[in-house]
Amino acid sequence: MRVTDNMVSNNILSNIQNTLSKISKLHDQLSSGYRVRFPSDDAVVATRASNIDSSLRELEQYKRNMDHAESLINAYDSSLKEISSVYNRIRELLVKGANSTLSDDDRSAIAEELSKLKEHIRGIVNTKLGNDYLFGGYMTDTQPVDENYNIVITPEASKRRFVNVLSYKIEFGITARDVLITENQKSVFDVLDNAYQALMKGDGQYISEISLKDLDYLERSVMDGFARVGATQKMAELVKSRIEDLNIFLTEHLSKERDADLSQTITELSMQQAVLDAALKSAASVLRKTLVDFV
Amino acid sequence: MAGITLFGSLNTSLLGIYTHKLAMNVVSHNIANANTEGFSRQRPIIETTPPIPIATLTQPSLPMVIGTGSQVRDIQRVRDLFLDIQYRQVENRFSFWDTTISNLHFVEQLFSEPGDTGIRSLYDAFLSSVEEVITDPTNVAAKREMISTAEQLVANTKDLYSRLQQLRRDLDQEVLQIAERINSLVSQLANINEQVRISSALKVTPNDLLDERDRILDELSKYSNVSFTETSDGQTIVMLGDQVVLSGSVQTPVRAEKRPYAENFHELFAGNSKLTINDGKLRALMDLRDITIVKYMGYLDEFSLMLSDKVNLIHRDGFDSSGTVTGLNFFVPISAQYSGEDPALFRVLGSRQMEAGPIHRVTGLNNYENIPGIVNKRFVDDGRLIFFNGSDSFSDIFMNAGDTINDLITSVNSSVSWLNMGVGQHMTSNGVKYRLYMEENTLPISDTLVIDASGTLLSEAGFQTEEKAFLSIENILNVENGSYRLTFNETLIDGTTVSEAVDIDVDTSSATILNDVANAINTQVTNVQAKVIGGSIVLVPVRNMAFDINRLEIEDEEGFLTQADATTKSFTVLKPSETLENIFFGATNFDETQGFKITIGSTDINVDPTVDTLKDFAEKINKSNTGVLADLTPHNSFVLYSTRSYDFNLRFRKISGPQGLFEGLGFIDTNSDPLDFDADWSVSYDLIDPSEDFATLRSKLSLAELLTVDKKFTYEPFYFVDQWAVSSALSMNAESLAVDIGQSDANSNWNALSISATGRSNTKILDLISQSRYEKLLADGKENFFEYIGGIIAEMGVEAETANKMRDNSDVLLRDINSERERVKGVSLDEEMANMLKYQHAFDASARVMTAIDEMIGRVIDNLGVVGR
Repeated sequence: MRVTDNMVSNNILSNIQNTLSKISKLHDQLSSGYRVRFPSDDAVVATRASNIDSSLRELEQYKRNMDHAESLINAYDSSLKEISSVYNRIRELLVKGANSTLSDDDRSAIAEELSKLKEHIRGIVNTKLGNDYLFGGYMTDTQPVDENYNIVITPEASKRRFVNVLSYKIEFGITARDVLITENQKSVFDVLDNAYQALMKGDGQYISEISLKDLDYLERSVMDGFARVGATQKMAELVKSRIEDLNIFLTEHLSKERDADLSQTITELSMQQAVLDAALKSAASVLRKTLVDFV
Repeated sequence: MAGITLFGSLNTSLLGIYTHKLAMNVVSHNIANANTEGFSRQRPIIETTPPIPIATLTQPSLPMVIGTGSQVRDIQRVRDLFLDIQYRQVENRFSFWDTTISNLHFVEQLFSEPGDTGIRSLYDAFLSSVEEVITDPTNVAAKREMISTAEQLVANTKDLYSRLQQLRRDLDQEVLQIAERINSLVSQLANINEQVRISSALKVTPNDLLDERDRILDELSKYSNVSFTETSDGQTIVMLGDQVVLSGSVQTPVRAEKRPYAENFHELFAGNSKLTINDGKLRALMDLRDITIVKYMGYLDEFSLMLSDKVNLIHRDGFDSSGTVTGLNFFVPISAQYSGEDPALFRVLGSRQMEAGPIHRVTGLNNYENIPGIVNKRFVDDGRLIFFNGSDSFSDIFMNAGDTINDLITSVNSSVSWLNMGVGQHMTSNGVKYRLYMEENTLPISDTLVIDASGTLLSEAGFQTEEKAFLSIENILNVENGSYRLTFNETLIDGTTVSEAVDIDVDTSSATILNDVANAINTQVTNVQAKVIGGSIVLVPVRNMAFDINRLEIEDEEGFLTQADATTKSFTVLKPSETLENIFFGATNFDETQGFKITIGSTDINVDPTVDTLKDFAEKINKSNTGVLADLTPHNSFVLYSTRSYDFNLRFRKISGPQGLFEGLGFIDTNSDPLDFDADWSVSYDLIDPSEDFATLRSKLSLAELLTVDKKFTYEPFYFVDQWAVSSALSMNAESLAVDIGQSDANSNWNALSISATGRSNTKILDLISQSRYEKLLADGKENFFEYIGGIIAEMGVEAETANKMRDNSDVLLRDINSERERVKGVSLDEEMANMLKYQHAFDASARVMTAIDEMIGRVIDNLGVVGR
């Protein structure tokens, strides 16, 4: 077969070009760390990488949502703790007040403290976190309990807040109605008013038979609140560790899919460099001589 | 005769010298052009000169044939025309794919996916910022952030879009330049043709001209598919694409004419005929300009159009944090810009907000082949249903294990006056089936309550249930005898608060104490009714309080409730499902048992109003693959969208169905009363008829809100992205962002006109915006917003990967063929050296022969006949 000089030089040149383009691609991979940088490198991997990237960003947001919810939950938790300790104090007072041997002065002192505590509860329920009333439900701009101890949050607004996490919603938050209305639909303030009246009247029987039992209801509603907060906290823990797991898993997956395998790339690179060296050497020796040199 | 003369031989050797001198010339021409592009090596064809027959002395009758020397008959170029044709075909392909891939690579770089800078990450950032407002709804900074991420998304998409458009402009420029280049090349060919014609008249082979011609054809084949034929006088007829551009020396120039619309890109003509090019760089450029890039721009158009309208429709239904209806669009609506021509009808929004209406009928067991299948079904357990008329009357139904549905029907119909129970037909997609139903007699079912005291009976009868809490007085016997006063503070559904007091005398010795207390409550209080269930008295708020225990607060000074261990308890109650038969209840000739169908194009969509809700109805349309998508706004207005396949124009397909349906959805108005949705269901009606003009359509859809967009030109994108922008009202005041979905007041005709805000931390609207990412409104209802950009990447990747592979393949092929061509036509210096030596030696030898003959002649002339001189 006939081989011309141009053929030889063209072939050598295109082979060198080929090797160089491979080398440049490997260099690209090494310096960027990515095996797939453009969809055309590998459409399937690129799409997956884009999807995983997006999921990672979504997870990041879920984590932020959860963090925010958690800090609010902690605020609820401490408010509830405070209410609970107030109820404890009220119980002490009522037990003391139920004693019929108490002097009028003592009783009115107890009643006085009771009304202070009532005010305190209102204060707790009217807690503001930043610009928002913590127990306001949807109506975070309205003081949940007014000066006359009426709960002004409407039933429509008395809903729990939520955050989106993964594929579901986590409800959190407790409204004024949740803490202030007992299971038997009585208002905490009414219950305390009644106890106050009974104290002033010296109705020990009422206090021990009704008020203390009512207090059970009150404490139960706080316990319900604790249970809810606790459950949400537990949920938050779970979700956060789930998010963490997913994050690690997805990052690993992404890296496996998209990142360059450094050792393999370096090996390939040195191989290609060897090929290039050989090509250049042979080109030099082949192209140097023609018959011209000998005649 | 004594043979050839010495002078003859001298001539023979002279011819040898001439021949090899000429051959040497060819060698040097070859070497000189060793690196000339398109040059094919030449070869002298050496042949003998005609021989002379000479009779010899010995055989005079048979003359000998004596050679007279050599001559160069022709100088041929060595070339394989078949390889040329192959080369040009592969060159076509190669430059097509090479151009395609380099531009596609640019496009994918513009999209910058996968990565953290593309529009996908910006869309994600937008969603994140929405979530951020959901978690912290009163934070103005979060709202501002949300609006500014939306602006970034819009700005970046626009930027990407304009870069793609710029790329199209550049490609168009390149087309122009190539057209110029083609004309210049063809005019060179015309020139060559002229010279070839003269050469062939002189009977010479113009080797170098032919090489030049082939070189030009090679270059032309880079731009377009090209073919040529040779006429008898050696001239060529060249076809570029499907048009003749050169015939002899007559050139038909390629002209680029502007399209009369949009960007005024150029179309190519040869003379006056449209030039269709099937391959090569030109084809690639025009494909990219008119199809590929337009496609990706179209995807961005679709994304922006759907996203902006979806978000707008959600946002418009919400209240801002101050609790005032804004009705504000989040994005500036993308709409028709050019007047004059009929626009495309992209979206139709019904005016009726179908929520908070009365439930007239509920479906229990359904999809039964026959009536006995239902009525003979037996209950497994004992059960008790308590029907409450919503104001003052309870009715008890007891069922024993083994009783049938028929028994239930009989007792309900005999003892509950406000509703009926029965078995009837309904029309499923598999034909007529039977169902168990409850329907209103005097009161809508949603105004009443059905309590399932056993908790299983309703679900055994196939009815949907939910849990509802009521206040249950558990141990009345614990209460000390005496008089008690309860004050009920009630919040009614209209927002007013009412106080009612009830005095209860407790006498635990009475055997009827439960009923006595219940009666006391029922006679003194109107908004709460008591019912004895088991050993407890259950307090049920009436319809005016939406049967909602949370609307009730009780003052109980004497501790009646406390002593009686009152507590909230959960009961199973009937959950009225908002099926279509309720929404269209009582409409003229509306027959729920017959079902109805709407027809889009030639696809029938059958709807069973006894079980299908609005959502089911919309889903059925979406699954029908008709290029029409249905959706609901937050307050249940019905929306019809057109899709990409139909150029976002609903008017491409006929949509027909019962007239009553279209009026019922708030699209049309047959009776000039926008609040009356009662049109005749027996009349078949064409909602959209492609043959109607737009003005007629617009007046027909008088109740609906229409969103029209510009029609698209051939080979052009929609240019929706150019219009995309965040509403300036929101940019200026982030506080006007809608957050609260509000609550509709109960209404009697399924048209919620009165909606009140519930509070600034109700983030339902934002949640809907966030969740809209999962709605399959894109790619003809097959993809959601979240996947969509991933889909674009996949498509782009596959396309570029293919182009890359094709380019590499054709590159290899091209190189092989080129090598093959080079093998035939290329100059080999070694070969030329060898030839050089060969010719040189022959030349030398011829000269030696000549010298010898010269000597011989000398001998004859000088030395012959001088013997003895």
